[in-house]
Parts: sequence; structure tokens; C-alpha cells
Amino acid sequence: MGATIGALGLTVSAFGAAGVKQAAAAENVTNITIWTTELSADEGNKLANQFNASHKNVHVTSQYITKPDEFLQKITAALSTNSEPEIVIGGDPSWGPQLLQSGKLVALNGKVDAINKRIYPGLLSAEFYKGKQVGIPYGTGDYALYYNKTDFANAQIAKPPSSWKEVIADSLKLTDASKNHYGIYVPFGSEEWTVWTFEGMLWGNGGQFLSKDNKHAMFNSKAGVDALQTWVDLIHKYKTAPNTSFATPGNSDGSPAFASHVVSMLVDGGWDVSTFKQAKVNFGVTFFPKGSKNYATNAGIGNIWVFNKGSDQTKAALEYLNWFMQPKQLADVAVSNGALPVSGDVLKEPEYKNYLKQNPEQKVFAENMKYVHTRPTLVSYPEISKVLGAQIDKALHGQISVKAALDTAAQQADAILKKNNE
Amino acid sequence: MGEAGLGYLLILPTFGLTFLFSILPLCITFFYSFFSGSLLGANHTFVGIQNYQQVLQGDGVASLGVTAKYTVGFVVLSCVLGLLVALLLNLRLKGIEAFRTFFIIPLVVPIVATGFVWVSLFNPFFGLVNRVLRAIGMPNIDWFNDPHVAIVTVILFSTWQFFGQNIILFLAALKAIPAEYLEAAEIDGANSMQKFFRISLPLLVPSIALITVLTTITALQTFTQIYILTQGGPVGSTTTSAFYIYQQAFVLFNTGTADALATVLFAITMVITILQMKVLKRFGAEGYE
Repeated sequence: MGATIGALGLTVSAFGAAGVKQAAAAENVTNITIWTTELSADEGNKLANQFNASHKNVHVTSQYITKPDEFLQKITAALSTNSEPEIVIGGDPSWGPQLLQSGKLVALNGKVDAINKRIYPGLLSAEFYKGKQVGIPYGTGDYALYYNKTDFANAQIAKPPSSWKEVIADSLKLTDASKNHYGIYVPFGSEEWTVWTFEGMLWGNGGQFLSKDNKHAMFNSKAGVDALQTWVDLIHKYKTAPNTSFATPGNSDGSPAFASHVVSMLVDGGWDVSTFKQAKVNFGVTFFPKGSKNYATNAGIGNIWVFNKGSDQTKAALEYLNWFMQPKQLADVAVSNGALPVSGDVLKEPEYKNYLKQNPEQKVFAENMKYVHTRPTLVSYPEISKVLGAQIDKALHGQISVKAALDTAAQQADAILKKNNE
Repeated sequence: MGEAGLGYLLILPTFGLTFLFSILPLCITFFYSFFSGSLLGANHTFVGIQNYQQVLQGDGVASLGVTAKYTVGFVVLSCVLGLLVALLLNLRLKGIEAFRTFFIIPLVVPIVATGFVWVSLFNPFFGLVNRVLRAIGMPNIDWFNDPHVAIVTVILFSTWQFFGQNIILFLAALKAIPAEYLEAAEIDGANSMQKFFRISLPLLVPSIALITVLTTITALQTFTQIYILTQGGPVGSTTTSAFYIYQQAFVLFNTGTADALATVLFAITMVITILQMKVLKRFGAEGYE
């Protein structure tokens, strides 16, 4: 009897010890949450599972939140209610100054030096605001010109246009208004997409968005006026672009116009290659057309931010960040969402090499990056973009002259810059 | 505890929740409407009535104009159509019940889903509506991108989505009219029109006034359909005040401007509601004081 009780006591002790050990192990695990937008839910979960399998002290939960156009609002709302995650993957560096105002953004200076050394300098420079590294880029993308090869062959156009003058000439040949078919799509609306693509035309004409000291708007220069006039002429003078918007909720690029064969040309990013393949469009991709001075395009940078939720959480978040930014993981991400790599070592990854073989169009987007510019990283940028977008939209609707539209927007932009003391 | 004490105790939970989620946020909104600063910024600067000046001089006042246009169109259409359909459904015809479902369905389907359906149906190039128009020799209509048409499209959408609610309310009011009044009039030789204008309509007036108040308040808060269908465009022609407040607060982070317009919109809603309640009282509706 005594032996039985003794054995029972030992068994209970053994179970008790195991329980305490398990609890201790669970206590040592730091749980962190990641929000994604450009990464699909499946891709985010896949990477989180891979990380969790090889890291015993940190457990990551990945959550897909919303489309990129609505992501900043979600992050902002979370920050103002203290419900933000430890890591946000997705969004543009131009959001950084706004997010920095929350006081919760972890400045990455000195924490990711090894990663910084691998990233293309042009992309990394967009991550700094007033000396602080507010984020880190994990993927990038630009826009180029999609064209319908069948339409070009039928119109006996031998090669895709390389300048906006050629775009006008080709679109005249491609347009058949009686069949509701047009040469090219011009983006209506006051959304960032309109301004983002206008900036490429501005830079191509040799213009600048803001003065070097960021005190004044410069987009109402001759370069800007010529750029916007080209769009207005395509719609109203030549009538070779639809006089309507094909934007859908959360998607302003007008891809439905190209996929449904309403237009033969479209300015769009590499993310829609799969869309047009699924729509069985016989398409090619060429550089974003040259302006009066040079080629140009605009970088959309997929960004990562870390938010301070306590020192253990920040340490765990940086551990995940360092793992995520390794070439293998970045190649996996690039293949999954069509983003271009932010460092040369990703190009050597077998998975990415194979992807480029299967998707040669992506090479054009990668080569177009030679002419890339980036949007200013300023608190004022989202507001300036909004007022400029509104005026561009008015000009595209023929309600106001191009010069008046850009002058009005420049005046408003100067006031915004002054208000924010940029 | 006296009767009054018990009464106060019983209303305390409701009052507490109303204070926490309605009155307090309203006071905070009013307070911050005199400050500039972003949603995330810790430092807010007192700017006096500057936010109100900005709202009443710029796009904010334009958004109030859009809201007024939308409200008038939506309230008139959804109330008139709601009443007409309710009158039809109130007829004692065989199988009429089946038609009730037809008008109620849009009300119970999520507005985001129906919004996407409308975006496809009314696409100027490949939408079904324009295809039908083209087939009968009519020109294309740019439903969402013509500044003069877009607001009409949004009003039509909202009416289609929500007038089922007014049908239910009008139908309930019609059913509440005592049958003997109508039977007595019929015995006296009154025809259908006389019965409607002399008996039903006067008895419906309190309900009409109440439904108008409810529909007006709904219209003044319109946001979702704008967000899905037009994003406030083209050129601001469908930017209602609620959408403008959202843009200022969550897209541009100008919380002071958003707070100022929210306060103005609240004041307008309150004035309209008080006026409509006075009308209710005048027409003898009980319980709306």
C-alpha cells in the first residue's frame, strides 16, 4: 500500500514537473502579430509557419488585413486605439513620416545595418526621414506600358511606342470609337494612382515635383503642364482615350479597360501580368514612354515597419525581420506577388531565376527601374497628392485648363508644406 | 428607495451607455474642432475657429451642397415610391405577398455586395444597362463618371437599396387604419381616389412625417454607397459630408477639419430633426415631443 502511494506520488510529481516545464517554455515564447496587404493571406501564413518551425522562442501570427489602398487607414486607426501589430508588411515609405508621429514606430538606425548593405541605395534612401530610418523595403515595383500585340499587328504598327509622341500617333491608328475601342487608357480620379503616373510623365519631361528644399511645389512648371496636356489631348483633342474611369473600389489602375479590350495600351505595374494572362490578352510590355527629356518611371516600394509594443516584442520582431529579409524568403515573396527584388542577391536564387524564365515580361519592369524616381518622403505628401489628384481630375473632365489646375494645386501644396513646417 | 429613485436606477445603464458612446464622443469632437493636428500627432495646436472657416469656405461647404442634393433626391424618391408600392401591396389581390419579397430583398443584402453589382451593371462600356440602351438605339450614359449623372446614379442606388424599409413602415401604417372607416366611406359612395385622399392620407400623415425624419437622418449620414460606387468623384460631385469627414480624418489626417465638419453636420441634423418634429406635433402625432 505504502509502495503504491509512493509510486502514485512520484507519478504525480513527474506530471507536475512536466507541467511546470511546459508552462515555463510557453512563458518564454514571445508572440508577435504581423499585418500584411501586398502579401496574400496564404503567403503570409506560409512564411509565418516556416519561421515558427525554426524559431522556438518567437511565435508569429500573420494576418492579411485589406487592399493596399485602404491599408494606411487601418494602420492609423489601430495606432490611435493601441491595437497595432508588432510588424506591418506593406505600404509605401511616404507613409513613414505620418506613422512616426504616433511615437510608436521603431527607428531602425543601427538595428538592420547588415540588411541595409544589401539593398539598392536608391530604394533605401526613401526610408529615411529627418535622420531616422523609419522602415525597410522588401519589394519594389514600377509601371511600364502594356500593349495588345494583336491590335498592333492589325493596325500595322511594327513596334510599341517609346515616347508619348509615338503613343499619340499609335493611338490614333488603334482607335475605333464606333466600336467603343480606344488607343490608351488615361486614369481619371483623384486617387494616388493618378498622381503616381502623372509624376512619371513630369519627370520624363525633366520636371520636379517639389523644390530641392521641399518648401514649394514645382509640378506646375512647363514640364508638368506639357505632361498633363498630353493626357487631356488624348481624351478631348484626339479622342483616343475613353472619357471615363475604369477604376473599381480599391483598384485605380484601369486594368479592366485593358483586360476587357476597350483599350490597346495601358500604363500599369507588373502585378497585373497574371491578370492579363488569365484574361487571355495577347500582350507585350515596354518601357513607360519617354517624355521630352528622358525615360522615367515611379517606384512603388513595399515597406516593412516595426512598432514598439515592449522590448521583448521589438526584439522578436527584429528577429523575424532579419529572417524575412534573407534572399530565399525575399525570392519567395517576389514570386508570390510579382514584386521586383530590392537586392541583387535575390536574382541569384534558383526560385526567382526560374520565375523570370516563365515570366519574361517582368524583365521589362526590372530594366525600367534604371530610370526610377521616388515620391518625396514627407508628412505632407498624402495631402499634396490628394489636392493635385483633384485638380488633375478636373482638367481631365475638361472643367478647368491644365495650367489653372496645376497652379491651383501648387498653391494648395505650398500652403500644406508651410502648415506642416516641412 | 422612492419611485423616482428606482426610475433613475433603471435608466442608469441606458444613460451610461448613451453618455459613453454618444454624448462624450460628441463633446470630444466639438473640443478638438478648435485644434489642428493629425490623428496620430500628440501635439495639437489651438487654432480657434480656423477649421470652421476652412470647412465653410472650401470643399467642406461643397460637400454640404452635395449632401443636400442627395438628401432631397433620396428622401423624395424613397418616400414617394415607398408609399406607392405599399399602397399596391395593400390591395387585396391574389399572390400579392410574393411581390413583397421582391422589394425587401435589396434591404437585407449587404450594401457592399450590391454596390459591386451596380458597378458592373452600370459600367459604361460592358455594363448590362448600357448594352440594353445601345440595343434600343439610345446613347451610352456614363453613370459614374459624368459629374452631372453620378449623383443621380447614387440616389437611384440608395433608393433601390433602402426603399423597402419605407414600404414596410408604410404598409404597417396602412394596415393600422381601421377597415370600418373605409367601409363606411364606400357605403356613402366614395370612390377609390376619394377614399385615399379623404381618409387614408390624413390618417397616414403622422407616419409619413416620422418616415421622412428617419429617411432624412439616414441620408445625412450617407457614406458606404459613396465609398463603393464613386469614391466621392468625379471631381467631387458625390463627395457627401460624411465621406469628406472620412477623407479628412483617415486619408489626410486633418482631424481638426473633420471634427469641425462633423460638428456642423450634427448641428444641421439636429435643426432639421427639430423642425420635422414640430411638423409631426402640428399634424397631431403623439409622442414625438
